[in-house]
Amino acid sequence: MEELQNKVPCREEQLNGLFNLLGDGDECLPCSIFISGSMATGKTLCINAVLRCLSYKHVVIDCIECYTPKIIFETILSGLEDEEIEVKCETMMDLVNGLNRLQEAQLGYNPIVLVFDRAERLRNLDANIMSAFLKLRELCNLNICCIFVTHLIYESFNFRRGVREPIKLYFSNYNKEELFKIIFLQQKTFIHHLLVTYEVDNEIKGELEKPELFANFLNAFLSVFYRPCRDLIELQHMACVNFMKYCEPIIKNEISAMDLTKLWRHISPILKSSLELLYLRLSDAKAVKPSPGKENSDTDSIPHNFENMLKEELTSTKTFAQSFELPYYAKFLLIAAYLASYNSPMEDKRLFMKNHGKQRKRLQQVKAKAKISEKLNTQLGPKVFTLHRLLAIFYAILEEKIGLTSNLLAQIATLVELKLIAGSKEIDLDTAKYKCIVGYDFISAVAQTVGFNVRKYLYDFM
Amino acid sequence: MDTTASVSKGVFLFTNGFKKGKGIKKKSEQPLFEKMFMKEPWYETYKQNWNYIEQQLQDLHHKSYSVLLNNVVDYIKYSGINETATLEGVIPSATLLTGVNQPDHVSQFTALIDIIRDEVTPHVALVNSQDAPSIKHLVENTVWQLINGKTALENYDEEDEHISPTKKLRKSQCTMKALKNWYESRHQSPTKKKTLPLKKPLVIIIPDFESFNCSVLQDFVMIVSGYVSIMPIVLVFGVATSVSALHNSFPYHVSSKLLIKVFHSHSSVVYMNQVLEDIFLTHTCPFQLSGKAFELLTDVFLFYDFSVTGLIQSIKYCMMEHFYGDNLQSLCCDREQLEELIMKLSAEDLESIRQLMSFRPFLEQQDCRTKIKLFEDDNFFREALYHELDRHHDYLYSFYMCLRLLCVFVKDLPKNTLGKTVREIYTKCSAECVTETTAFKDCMQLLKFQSQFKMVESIKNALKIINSYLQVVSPVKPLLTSPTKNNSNNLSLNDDLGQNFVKSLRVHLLTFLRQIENANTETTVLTNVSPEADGNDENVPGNRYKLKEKLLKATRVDRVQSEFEMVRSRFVSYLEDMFSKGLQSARTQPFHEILLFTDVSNVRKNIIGSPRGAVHTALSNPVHYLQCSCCQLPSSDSVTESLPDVCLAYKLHRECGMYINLYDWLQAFATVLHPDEEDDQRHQHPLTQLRFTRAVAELQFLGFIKSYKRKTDHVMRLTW
Repeated sequence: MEELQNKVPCREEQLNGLFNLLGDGDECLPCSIFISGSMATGKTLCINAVLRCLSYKHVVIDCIECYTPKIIFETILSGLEDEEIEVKCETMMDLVNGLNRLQEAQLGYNPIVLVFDRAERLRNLDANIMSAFLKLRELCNLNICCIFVTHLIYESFNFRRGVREPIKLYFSNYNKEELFKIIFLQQKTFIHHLLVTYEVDNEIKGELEKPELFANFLNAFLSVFYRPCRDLIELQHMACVNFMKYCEPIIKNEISAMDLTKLWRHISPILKSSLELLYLRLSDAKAVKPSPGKENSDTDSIPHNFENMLKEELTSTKTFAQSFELPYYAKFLLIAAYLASYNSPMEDKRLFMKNHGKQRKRLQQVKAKAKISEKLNTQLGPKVFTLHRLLAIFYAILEEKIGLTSNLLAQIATLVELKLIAGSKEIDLDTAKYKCIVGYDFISAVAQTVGFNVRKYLYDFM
Repeated sequence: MDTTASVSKGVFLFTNGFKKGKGIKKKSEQPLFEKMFMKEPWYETYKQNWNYIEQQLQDLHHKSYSVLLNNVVDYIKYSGINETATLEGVIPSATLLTGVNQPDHVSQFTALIDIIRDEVTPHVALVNSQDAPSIKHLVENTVWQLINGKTALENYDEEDEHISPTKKLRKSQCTMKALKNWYESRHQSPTKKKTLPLKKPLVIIIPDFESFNCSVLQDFVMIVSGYVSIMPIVLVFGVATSVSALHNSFPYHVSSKLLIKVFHSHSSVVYMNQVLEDIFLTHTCPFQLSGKAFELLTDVFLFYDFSVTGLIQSIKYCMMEHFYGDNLQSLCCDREQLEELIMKLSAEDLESIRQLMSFRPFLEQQDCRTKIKLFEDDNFFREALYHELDRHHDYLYSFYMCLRLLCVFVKDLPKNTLGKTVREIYTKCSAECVTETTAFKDCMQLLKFQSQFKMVESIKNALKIINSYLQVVSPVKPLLTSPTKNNSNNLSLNDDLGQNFVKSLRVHLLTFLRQIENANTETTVLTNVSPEADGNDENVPGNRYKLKEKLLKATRVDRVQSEFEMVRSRFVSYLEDMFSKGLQSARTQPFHEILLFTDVSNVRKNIIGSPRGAVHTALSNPVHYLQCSCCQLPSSDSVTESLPDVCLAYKLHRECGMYINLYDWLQAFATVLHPDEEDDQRHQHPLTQLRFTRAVAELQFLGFIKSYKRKTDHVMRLTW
């Protein structure tokens, strides 16, 4: 038990719970256990540790890869089988029969545990599968227990009535102290990683290995990252990346390891900027030992700039749109699609025709417009339009006269492919309907590159 | 590239080039082509040319991809070593930003697979979005390819003692578990194989990221991440738009499983420029596109599709069009073969050459006796032809060189009146005599104000180009000079093009360079004598500022032309002279039709399909396609009874508004068919009604009308 708790820190309560449920070999196992808790709270780790410690026969099934129930059944059977044989199992009934056969042959009443990781995926399969597993023990003659591991709560599994309720176990999020404790355990690997990447003098090495330095860093790190992210794995990754940067000035002898305020001043902007890269996992692994044949100066410089570029790209759609390269007419088609999506067809005539006649502004209309001003078309989201309308607007906004060629029509399909326009890929002759799914910022940036004023043609801005 | 070497290459490819196959459609037709045209000289030349171009293209492909692909491959190689990441279930993945032109990607990815197979691992799977509509298909396809790709390779690998499981897995059995078992059996059981440096990674390539269903990919990534600790798997994504597409379509818990490294590939515009400049706009490529045709093709590229493959196919089409069925065009070949081919020409062929438009101005230059001789004596004509074509090659040689020189000088000028790239300048130059355009004159005017530093730099660049051109030619030199001596006696020549031209150009430029560089010191002499010698290049930038100051002073005092300015203006006028000699339009050259392809309208019609236009012409003017004598119409709106029913109905429906009353339409229809009958009876013929109904049904089928629900006797128009 002690050993187990060292292996899985900060989960004493849950470990105890699991032990109480499973621990006594001579007792019957509970029928089913339901474990929930958000991501990276150590659910799978706990279960696996406990089962290994108890050395029960168990099968772990990752439900995400089970797109057909057949895979689940076969995994279970082949996992329980001692020697490798080909198993065939198509239905639940086959599974029950197979389990019973196994019981007679080799298992007897030894405890067996089935672990369903990411059990929320079971909901996508047939409705009865999950309920069948919940009462698997009633169906077969085994001392068997199903454990469901998921990040959803039990209530979101909508069962019909008559389901045997499982025993529920909740894994709470780690709090700040616990996170600190857990990441701190990794100090050795961090240091090792650091030493691998940099060449460090022995003197400084001693400095770096001091746990206080790392503790200080972690405090600073968590103060920034604790709010947006509780995912332990991600936090570990980010900590590793940032610790390198934290230590950089120490290695270069610019800041002494004891000067905490200076180090904090050095790291806080870095932490803030890397907050934006959370979860993105860009590999900044520099091209390791560039082979002597090719030494392009530009390829080396790209990864450095790139991080910044990506950051910009994510934060502002404008640079994103400008980095986008599209053929000339495709740009116009995209603009036309946007206009078609965000203008009502009633206004087309007014917007796109030269002699549309004067529209009298009636007081009523003005009032009505003022009233709905909070629901501008541009903010309401795109509306569906037909191919004909798209082409009509396209020709209206394009100054030069070009024929309606197959190349042009192919561009529409390309835009759909690139997920700039949503629509059916197969061409329906009468009613091909599309929807533009890029935002105003993006469109105005694209329009800028071809010298086109979008605002002029949007009814909302009239 | 060496011209002689290129010929041998072309011929070499000729023998075995077609085994590889260019496209499925071509392949199936190849035997027919071969049989029909094998004997024709024009076909042989065409094939030689095309093979040569293809060879060049492949070289270029390799060159331009290699850097990128090597980076990717290095990354894949290295990714296996990074153990710490894989323990957490993080998948190393490479992201290739490929640009929007989808058709070009295919070759890129096949090249990538080849390299990976050769250098890293035999286990590569490439899954297209069409093959993977659901997670089931995706996993099955991937696993199947990984397992069977290896067995296919194992056949070559005799010493591999681990005998592959002979029973092939069925597709439905290909699950990740099966893959795991297979991988373990392959890499762990043979304990002898400890010499293997590492577990070989499994590479999964997803070339078209955008068209995948997001949720499918998310699931796939999660599944793979579960197995990464057991098998080293590397993902390669091909992303057409930008990296953020990747991040936008994956939620946090998925994207945190990916360790993404991004690789940029060339933008397709750059690549196209490269293809055009290195392959088609050179003197080594005998087939030339006229400026108009060239512009058309690049327009298609820039405005519509950004597809280099498409561009190359269009050029291929132009070549076929150019060569097809005409023995004249067999002369469109390399210089060395020219003589031989001319000798092979029949009298008929020669006659058709005499009828070329550009022969006439050439004829007028000759004196009377030569004229007669040219017409009567085939052998004499052959010789003259050979000579002229040879001169034409010389002309091309100096033309393209001048083109590049012009590009060097003009590139950095403000406003870009002539364009920035070689292809833009080419369209201008080949369309007309560029030196007479105002754009060119503006450019020269601007050159007169260029600073010394820039001037020196661009002259140096120009010299580089000239040197590279001279290197190319020098081995051919003996071949070149001997024929010119042969028949220079009785034809009036102005042989100042070709190599000699280039050589003299080089000498001139060198002297100008020296003068301009030295001019600097001369100007300083005017005001104060500076002892230090700043003729060398390193000091030039500093000198520029000095020069500027001095020039400023000079303007304040009195505009005395400095030495540099004088040299500069002399240089610019020399450039003008030189370009007007070198950049004559190809149309002024005799026999240019043989090398130059000009039939733009035909190409436009055939390359850019316009389905609606075709339907409209067919319906409103059926003569265009039927070629019958009965339906000749005075104008496109008029109708006669001899028109096919569908056309008639179509024309009548064009006169209507949004909704068409069927009865009225039928009336009109009947009136045209039977103009001389009573109003009431016309439409009562069952035959008329039948024909009308059928025509309407056909129009509906073509998508011009559809039935209208509110008024049952009306139909709605769908086109305008």
